[in-house]
Amino acid sequence: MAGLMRIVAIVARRLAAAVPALFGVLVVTFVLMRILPGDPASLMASSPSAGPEEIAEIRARLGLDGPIPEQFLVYLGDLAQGDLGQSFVTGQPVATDLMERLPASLELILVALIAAVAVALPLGVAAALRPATLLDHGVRVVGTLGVAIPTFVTGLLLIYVFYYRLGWAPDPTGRLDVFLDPPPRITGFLLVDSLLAADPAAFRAAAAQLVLPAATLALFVMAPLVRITRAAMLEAMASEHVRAARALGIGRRRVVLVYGLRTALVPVLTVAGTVISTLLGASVLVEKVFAWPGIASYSLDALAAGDFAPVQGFVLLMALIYVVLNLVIDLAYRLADPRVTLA
Amino acid sequence: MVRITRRLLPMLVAALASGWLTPNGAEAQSRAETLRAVTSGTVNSLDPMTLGATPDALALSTATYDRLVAYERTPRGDGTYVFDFNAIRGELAESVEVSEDGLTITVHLRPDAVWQDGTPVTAEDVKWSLDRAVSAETMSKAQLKTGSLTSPDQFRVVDARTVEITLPQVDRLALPNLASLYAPMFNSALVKREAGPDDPWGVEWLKTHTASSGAYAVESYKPGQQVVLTRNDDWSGGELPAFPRVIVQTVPDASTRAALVERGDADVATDLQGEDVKALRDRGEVQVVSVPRPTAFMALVFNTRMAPFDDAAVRRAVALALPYDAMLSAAASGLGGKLYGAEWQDGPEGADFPQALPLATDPEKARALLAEAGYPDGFETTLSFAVNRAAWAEPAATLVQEALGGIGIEVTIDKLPDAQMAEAITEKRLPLLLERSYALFPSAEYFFRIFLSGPSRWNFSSWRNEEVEALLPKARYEADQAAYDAVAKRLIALAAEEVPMAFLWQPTQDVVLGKDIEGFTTWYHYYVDVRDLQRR
Repeated sequence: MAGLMRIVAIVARRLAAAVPALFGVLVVTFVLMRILPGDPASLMASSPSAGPEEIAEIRARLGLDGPIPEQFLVYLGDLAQGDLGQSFVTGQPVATDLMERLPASLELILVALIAAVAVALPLGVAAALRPATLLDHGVRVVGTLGVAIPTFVTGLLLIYVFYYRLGWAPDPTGRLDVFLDPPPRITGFLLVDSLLAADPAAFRAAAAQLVLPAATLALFVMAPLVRITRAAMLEAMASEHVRAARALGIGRRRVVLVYGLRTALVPVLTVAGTVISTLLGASVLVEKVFAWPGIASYSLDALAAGDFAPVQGFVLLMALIYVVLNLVIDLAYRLADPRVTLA
Repeated sequence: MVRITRRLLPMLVAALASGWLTPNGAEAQSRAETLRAVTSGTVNSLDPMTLGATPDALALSTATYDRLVAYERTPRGDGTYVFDFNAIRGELAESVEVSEDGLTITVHLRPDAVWQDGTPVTAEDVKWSLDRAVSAETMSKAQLKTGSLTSPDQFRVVDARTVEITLPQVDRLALPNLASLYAPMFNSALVKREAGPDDPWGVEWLKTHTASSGAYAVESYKPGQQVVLTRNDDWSGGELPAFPRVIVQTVPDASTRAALVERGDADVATDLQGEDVKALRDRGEVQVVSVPRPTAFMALVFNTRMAPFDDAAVRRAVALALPYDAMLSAAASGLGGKLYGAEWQDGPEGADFPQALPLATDPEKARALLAEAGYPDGFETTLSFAVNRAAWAEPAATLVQEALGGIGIEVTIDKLPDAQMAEAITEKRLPLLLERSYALFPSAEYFFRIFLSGPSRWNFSSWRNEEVEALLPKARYEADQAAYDAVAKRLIALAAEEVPMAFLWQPTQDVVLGKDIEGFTTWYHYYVDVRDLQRR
């Protein structure tokens, strides 16, 4: 009970400490978007007869006609009520858009992460147990190739081979076959929702749509995971407690998995944290290539159109995700290694 | 817990396996009856007239809304069609009469016309829609002004099915404007009921709802992703479209769009890149329609208010130095209607514009002209274009840079993000730019009014010629065709003389269609109207 209380206190303190950082992010994005050259109102006034009045009308509608400090106060006021503003590109409230699209991105990133870890951990362990062998070098080459090729190239290659040439993959657009009805939205994660709705066709379709984009992302982030697993594992296997365990005659399997791998997991977790942020970044292009309705491609479109509100909302959401992510990883350290204490 | 899992797990497995094994017949059938179109842009509003509505929103409204009138189409002979600007038919209207003096347009509604909610279309609805177009803050307002439609006083309800539109003067573009996407008809009772008193014209409400009589109803709308349409079987505005269902989906990557049509998973793809179009045509798995757009142009634009381009001789010198043929082949794979190299000297033969002007590559003459204008050693300047124009503007700019270097003009190329470019064009602060656009109507007078006169951002070259300013109103309000043609030809001759822009070519509209799709029509707006299409 006391332990739980302590963890709650830690979480609360961490979240409180994140508030100034979030505010800083807010100010910087807000000012940056407005001092960047480019006028969204001119861009949006697209009709052939658009004159200065129409542009002024759009500017007023976007709330861009006042001085910047005033605009910022208005924005903060809206934000306090949970209003992130209106997107001009989609015509929807930004909060609605982000909530609609966040599960798509998270589902893709999580599946990619799980795939990457599921492949990288065994490979890294195997490479560490047999250093400087053919296996070790092979793993390194594959990992390096994955990170060396830009994600959109990997994505297009996979589409070309598995969809266009072989016809194994479903058409690479979006999260579900367009001719299927999506399962009722409960969590927004299609894999989960289709199971909850007991809709096997939707589950199968959603899983099939995930394969190529998730593989693209997983290939991109495998290399650092393999490398760190291998390094940490080498170090762990050479450590005193592993030697002691071996000396005590404990089975090799148990030595490797419990005494070796568990110690090695702390640095792997750290890297997994940074890998998630890499995934968030890399998913921009992957979402574009696969017409994935996620938040990354959404914010990119908004940025190109000078649509301020979605970009601000996206950055704020990302900052929040980072705060939570770091916290979760810190807590996970404790599970992996009880010696770690949290301040 | 264990018991639940034990019971659930086999059920789950059984459910999954059965889904895996049963062939999905319903899906196959709906595929044949569904038209799937993939585009690069997104629909940001169901009301095409929302300020800031995307081109895709306008394109969608071809099928979701009706206008009072529409253009006829004529077959091209290869299974595709082209619109006929001079033949107007009724859409929501059964017939339209223009009075002898050209000042009154009388619209008779179809007796069987109903809104999608089943209520009959009334003259009141039409008046409300026209009032909205000229009163509410939408894109209609500025557009309808180009056809002398400006005030609600001009629209009068005669009886339940007749509306009378009066014009302050004869205007050649009044009826074309009513046939355009800028004059959609709304179910006024529905809008008034649903949108509430705070939103009298339904500007907000209509962004996410439709109140129309159109051939297709919106079944689902996911902003930025896809729109699903179902055919309105009660539609009376024309021949009932062939497809019961239409999916318009946003697929940002061009090669993915191409692959989808080639694999037969999609039926229509637009906004493809030149290279992809070429490869698709060579492989021959799909139909590729590439037609030069009659009202469109690409041009090297001079800022005629900024030295040295305020001097017509300098502009002509630059225009004569351009390697037109090389630019067309490098930037557009040679596909496009040439707007250069015409033979005429005194005046054009036709009265349409854009048309080819008598300018062709002649570096010797260019150098001489430049020296005459006082720049024997040339000058330095910057050539700008927007990132979204880069596919053609980048190769074109490099060739311009090289060619102008040959006559002593040193060109720096500046590629600007879209929003920045839009701002710079509005402020008219760039000396030289590559731009493309198109006029809504194929009329020389309209083209000059939009692109070669006045203070608007669309007058890219900021050109102001007193004779043009004097001629334009004359042409616009001229009822006699021969008199109009004479004025239009004079306008064209002036553009050739003064060279406010060096016109390059008419870009093509490239549409990729599945092998079994027919009925494609080139419209004045260059969007794909899904109502035209059917499966062979």
